[in-house]
Amino acid sequence: MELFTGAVISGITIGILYGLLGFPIVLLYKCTGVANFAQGNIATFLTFVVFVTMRSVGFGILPALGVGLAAAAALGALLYLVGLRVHADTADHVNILMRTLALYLLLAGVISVRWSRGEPFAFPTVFPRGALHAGLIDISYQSAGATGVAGVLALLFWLFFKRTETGLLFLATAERRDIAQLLGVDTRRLTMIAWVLAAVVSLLVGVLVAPTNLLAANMMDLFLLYSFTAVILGGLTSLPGVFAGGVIVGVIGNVVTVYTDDDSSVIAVFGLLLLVLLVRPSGLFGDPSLKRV
Amino acid sequence: MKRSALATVLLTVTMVATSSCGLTTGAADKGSGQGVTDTQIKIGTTNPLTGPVAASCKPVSDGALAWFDYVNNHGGINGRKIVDQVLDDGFNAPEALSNARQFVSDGDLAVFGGCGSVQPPAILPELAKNGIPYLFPYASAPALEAAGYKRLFLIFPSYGHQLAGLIKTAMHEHGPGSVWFANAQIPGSDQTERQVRQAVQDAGGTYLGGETTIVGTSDYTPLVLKMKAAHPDYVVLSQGAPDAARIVQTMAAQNALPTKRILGQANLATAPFVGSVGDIANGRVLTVSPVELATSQAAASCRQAFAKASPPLTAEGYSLFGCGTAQIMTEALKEAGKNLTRERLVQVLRSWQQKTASPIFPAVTFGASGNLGVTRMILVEIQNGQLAGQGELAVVP
Repeated sequence: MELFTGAVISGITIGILYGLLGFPIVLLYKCTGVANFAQGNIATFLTFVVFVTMRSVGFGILPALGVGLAAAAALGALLYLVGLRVHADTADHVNILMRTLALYLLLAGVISVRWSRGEPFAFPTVFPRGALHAGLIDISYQSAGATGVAGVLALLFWLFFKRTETGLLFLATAERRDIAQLLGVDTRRLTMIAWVLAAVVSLLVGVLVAPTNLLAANMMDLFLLYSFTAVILGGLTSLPGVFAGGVIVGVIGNVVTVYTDDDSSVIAVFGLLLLVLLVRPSGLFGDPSLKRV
Repeated sequence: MKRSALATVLLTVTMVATSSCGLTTGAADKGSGQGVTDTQIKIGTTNPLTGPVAASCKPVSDGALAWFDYVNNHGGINGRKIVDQVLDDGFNAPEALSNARQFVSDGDLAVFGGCGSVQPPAILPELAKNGIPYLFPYASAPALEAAGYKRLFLIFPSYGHQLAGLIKTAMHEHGPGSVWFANAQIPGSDQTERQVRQAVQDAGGTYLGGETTIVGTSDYTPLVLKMKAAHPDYVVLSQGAPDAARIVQTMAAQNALPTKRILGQANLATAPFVGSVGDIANGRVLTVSPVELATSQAAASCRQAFAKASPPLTAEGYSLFGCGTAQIMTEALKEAGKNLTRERLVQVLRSWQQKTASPIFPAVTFGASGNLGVTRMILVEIQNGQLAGQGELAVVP
């Protein structure tokens, strides 16, 4: 029972992080109609920026994180303006999708050439060392803190979307981009803000994952695969759904691993994904009537 | 990720199976003198310069190139410069095979070095078919040790051998105990598991079981929870440096460090592992190194070559392995003399008996038909965030 409880708790912890990385994927999908394959490498790239700032300038983790947040905002805007906005109105979805794949490879190349020598790197945590003890399971302050940060971010985004004018315009654009444009909403500006938010959230995920996964060029590769699974399970267009999808993926993956093995866990998670796509193509929390054209 | 790993294994098995005749009989020397001119000796290296293990593996070829440059700048070998063409295989068997075909087509004297356990079984049949010597890869591949190709020379005992020797020594020093094994999915991992299980039994310990994990697993917490529930005295790791470091980090976070020691193969005696686990490993990790440690007097010549490289190289486990194998290579080329051919190179290596060919490797003996030239490694403990040598130990009976 203790093993089961441990697997569930650790599954929830990692699942919330899957959801947090999936969140910007859903946000961008709702704004652009395209899944962003570069999300994981944006996280890795920005985490390396924080790491290099600490190492070369001598900053502590918090000041370096401040530099990282500024870099994230700049990178998000740059990626949109240079990589996505050009001919965006006439390009089809496949074109935009391939652009995100190109960004994925571009960022992977830059990370590999500039920073990967000697990886993996120990990355400092903003949380104290040690763990909360609860029977067999020990929840490290790092994991508990990461879950807390994810929760706070989710709350802030909820407030942003529900209580601010920009947030409401976001939701309107996400639901009916064409009508929002007819009503005079500057959808390009909103899409750029979405890219900035996506980059900032990616940085925070990277900084939360790196202390335990260690900073390396491939740090987010498998992570992104599970985040995409969370996105699809959650319904692709549902912002709360992606967190629920992440927790489902995390818990099932961890419980199956502790009672069988890694391979069976992969089969269980992706078998569930296939099943959901067959039985409920819009995902567990997606709107079945919503169809992007 | 998973599918590509499975495809690689299947391709490897197929290629080894379909070419077994050529391996056991030994191929004719189809290219004597090829790759050798009056001014140069051309060899080829396939190595992951990109991809998941590039950060660990690139220093292996960089270390070798630094030593070859050093030798070339001091007059070369018998008046010839060594030209080592390093091609990227991305830790991918088909890419490595394509590179090997390039070396065959170029008529290189030999295929030298490289790093990774996935690629060597895939390229060996191609090299055997064409009689190309294959020298000193950093790879754990039990299939290679048993390949029977007489132009294959290894100085890196398989992980199974390394861990068996280490378990015997650790249980002699710290007492028998229970063992939990975290293995990685690479070719030969089944045999590694059998060797670990047998070594534990032979040393009077109890084998509790373990898990074979996918390289680059995103969350090691479930693995560590299973490990913790078993209450082992020893945890044995057969993992790449990044994954081993992640597992140890997770063990510390879950308060799951074993009561006696963490035992690991040579990947734990490297800078990427030691640098990323911090003080968690102090006094808890025992490992083995194929080469003397970076700070030793024996490594002085490599350090000197690394200082002259551009950019300068850091001396640590992977780069020193590359440098040491290059030293063995240059020693063999020197002995082979002016009339250098593949046949002559093989003769020289086969003639070595307890030969000290590199100051950082134990003495080398290949004999008439063996593939593995060393049976001893350096026992290493991590103390104060540094590797500390504890003398040699026998890893192959």
